Amino acid sequence: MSRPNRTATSRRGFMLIHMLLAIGLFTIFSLAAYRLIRLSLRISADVSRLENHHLRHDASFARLREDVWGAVAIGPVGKKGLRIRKPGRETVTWTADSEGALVRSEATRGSYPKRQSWPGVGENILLRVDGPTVSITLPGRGDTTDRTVLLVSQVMLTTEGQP
Amino acid sequence: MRQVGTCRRDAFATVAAVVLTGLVSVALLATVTLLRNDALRTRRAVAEAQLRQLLLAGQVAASAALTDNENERRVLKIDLPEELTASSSLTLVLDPANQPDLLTATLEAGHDGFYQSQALTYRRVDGRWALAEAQLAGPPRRVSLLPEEPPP
Repeated sequence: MSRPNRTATSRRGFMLIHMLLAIGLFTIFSLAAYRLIRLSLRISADVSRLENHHLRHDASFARLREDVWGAVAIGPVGKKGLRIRKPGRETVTWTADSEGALVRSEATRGSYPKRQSWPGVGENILLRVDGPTVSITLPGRGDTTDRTVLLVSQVMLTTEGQP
Repeated sequence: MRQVGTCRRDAFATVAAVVLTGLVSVALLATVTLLRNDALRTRRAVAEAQLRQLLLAGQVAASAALTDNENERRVLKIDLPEELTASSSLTLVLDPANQPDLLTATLEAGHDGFYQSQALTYRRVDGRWALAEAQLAGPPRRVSLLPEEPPP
């Protein structure tokens, strides 16, 4: 009498263990899959964000370099700005605004000023003037140290060397 | 019935595996693209720095090459140090303007497949040529996009 009962109990236990194992495996798989999906999506978003940041950074620095290269006079505007005088009537002002954008304003006598902005590039940036040289200090992120980029004015470099 | 159930489970696992593999592939591809672009950007930055050095040195050479009587257009190849002759080039084009006291010099620098030029304007002051303007002609470009011979 007791034997069939024991078999039924064993079967039920066997099924339960199988179920528990299946649920456990499914949970582990789900967690791993969720993390993988999240990581994949985050990497794709980060890559896109970084690419955009690099493009904005390169474009703004190329423009700033061109302005400094042809400058006949450079002066500071606070700690985060420059005023560049170019031959002729142009004056260009570069500033890092409170929202972290690097802003270029070009004023020519007799016309409306032109304004260009590169969001995110001017965050914690420092611009310093030393004669014909402009140094841009970019803050380090995480373990990286601060980086300094030097720009030079071709005209001022030449005129300063002349007697 | 049982077979149909098994097939469905198999299909679910396959679909899940394919979707995950696809997502991981996209992330890997994005990472590889970023690394590749970073490497190209670094190479480009090195070339650009060298080009600027060449243009700065070229300006000194241009000032030294100017004579009192600049009446004709001249194209000069500026000699570079031995370390740079294989990978770099620097050409100066002196072009007198219509005004007697004005002269335009174009410096064309090439390095490691990249090219950049600048336009210098000299003005004669008290009998001497003085640099009045310097303008970079845009960002550096790949040499393959340029004509082989400079325009006359």
